Formats: sequence, C-alpha cells, structure tokens
Amino acid sequence: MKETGYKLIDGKIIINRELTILDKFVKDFLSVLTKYSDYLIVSGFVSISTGRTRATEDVDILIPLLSKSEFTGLFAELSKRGFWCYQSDLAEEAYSYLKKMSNIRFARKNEMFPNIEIIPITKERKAKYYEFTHPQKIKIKEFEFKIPLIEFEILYKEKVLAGKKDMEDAAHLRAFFKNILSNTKFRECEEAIKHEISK
Amino acid sequence: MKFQSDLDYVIYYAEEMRENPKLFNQQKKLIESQLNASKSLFSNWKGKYFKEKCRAYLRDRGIIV
Repeated sequence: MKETGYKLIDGKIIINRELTILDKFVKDFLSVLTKYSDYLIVSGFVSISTGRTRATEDVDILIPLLSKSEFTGLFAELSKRGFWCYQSDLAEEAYSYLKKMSNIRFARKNEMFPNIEIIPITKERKAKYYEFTHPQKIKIKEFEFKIPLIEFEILYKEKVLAGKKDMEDAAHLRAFFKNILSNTKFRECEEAIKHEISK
Repeated sequence: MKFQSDLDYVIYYAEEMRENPKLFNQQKKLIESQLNASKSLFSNWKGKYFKEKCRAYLRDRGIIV
C-alpha cells in the first residue's frame, strides 16, 4: 500500500513523519499544561506540524481563563520542569496579565526561543471560543494534541488575518488536506467568524 | 519547474508532501536548522543575568510590556 503524508482514522489526523525538536518542546510543555487546563494549539504550529516549511519562534496555545490557584499550580510545575516566563518569575504577577486577558509566554530555561504563547479565552471571544470547543485531534508518532478544525484554520487565516504568511499557511492547508475538507464545515466555521470578518 | 509566485510553490510542495511523506525529512531539517540558529543567537547570554537581558531585548521589540 502506498505511503501518504497523512491518514484520517476515526476522525483523528495521523501525520506520517518523525518528531522535530519543535514538536518535542511543545509535547513537554503540554505534558504539564494538561494537568491543569484544557487547551488548543492554534496558528503557525498547525501549519508547520502538518508540513508547512517555514520559520517560527512561537507556538500559540488557547486556554480558558484559569483561577488564580490553578494558575499558581501550573506556574510552579512549569518552573520545576525547566520553563521560565517572559513576563515574570512570580506566579501572581504573571497571573495579573492573564486576568487582563493579555498573553504570556514561556520558554525553556536559558533559552529565549522557541516559546509558547498562552492566550486566555472566555466565551466573549466568540471566534476563539468556537474553535476551542470544536477541536480536531492530530497525532504524530506518540505525540497527540488538539488543533482547530482545519476548515476553521483556513478561513481564519484567509479572511481575518490575511497577511502574506497567513495566506501561504492557508494555501498549504487547503492543498495538503484537499481530500478531507468539508464544505459543510466551511459553512459552519464561516458563520462562527463572520463578526470578525466585518471588523 | 517555474513558479509564478511564492503561493504557487507552497501549493506545489503541499501537494507533493501529501503523496510523498519522505519530503517531511527535508522539512524536519529546515525547521530544526532555523530553530538551532535562533537559539544560538542568544546562547552567549547564558548565565546569572540571562532573563534580565532577554526581558530587556523583548521589551525593546515590544514583545513584552
């Protein structure tokens, strides 16, 4: 049987490749994050993990706004596991950014890049909340994680972000996943982001 | 093969990769090479004041406030 770049098995996308050092960095971070929070990996890493060949230094992850005690536990364990926070060495100070719905970033100790950008979401952030609640499972070797629906990611990059890099990421996703994209899902996702398109 | 634009190349490469997973090996090399280059740029900052230097750099570029 001919080898292909990916398979769709029981709704899960299985990418046929080895892990990179970027994947291992994200996997280590998620092994801590998932003890404290749900999550969704979005943006550039979605395209890169599915074959797009371009540079990146940050990985964007949506999380629901955590309570202070949940975040303090997460922050302590991330520190113990070798990550540092760009914004502060103190959990309380880092949490003040999340409370204001500002993003915070983590990298490995003694490194600046790559970094994880944590993006807090609530139901008020409608498009982000939609993608968060409609995840797509994806697996590369033993690394399984959640990304948005591919149709959502394509539309968001084409219609909301629309920069050169975003249009190229969207074109990559359209071409690579051509055989599994659904018009029904495109319509549903377009409905979810329509208020952002008109901004 | 001649491409009219960067976008044409992206689409061509994605279609090839869909049918030929061996191309992921090339992608791995490129991704890792770029990341190692980024890491090495700041490796001489390692030490007691690493985070302070990083934060000053990040503030200068508006990455943190």
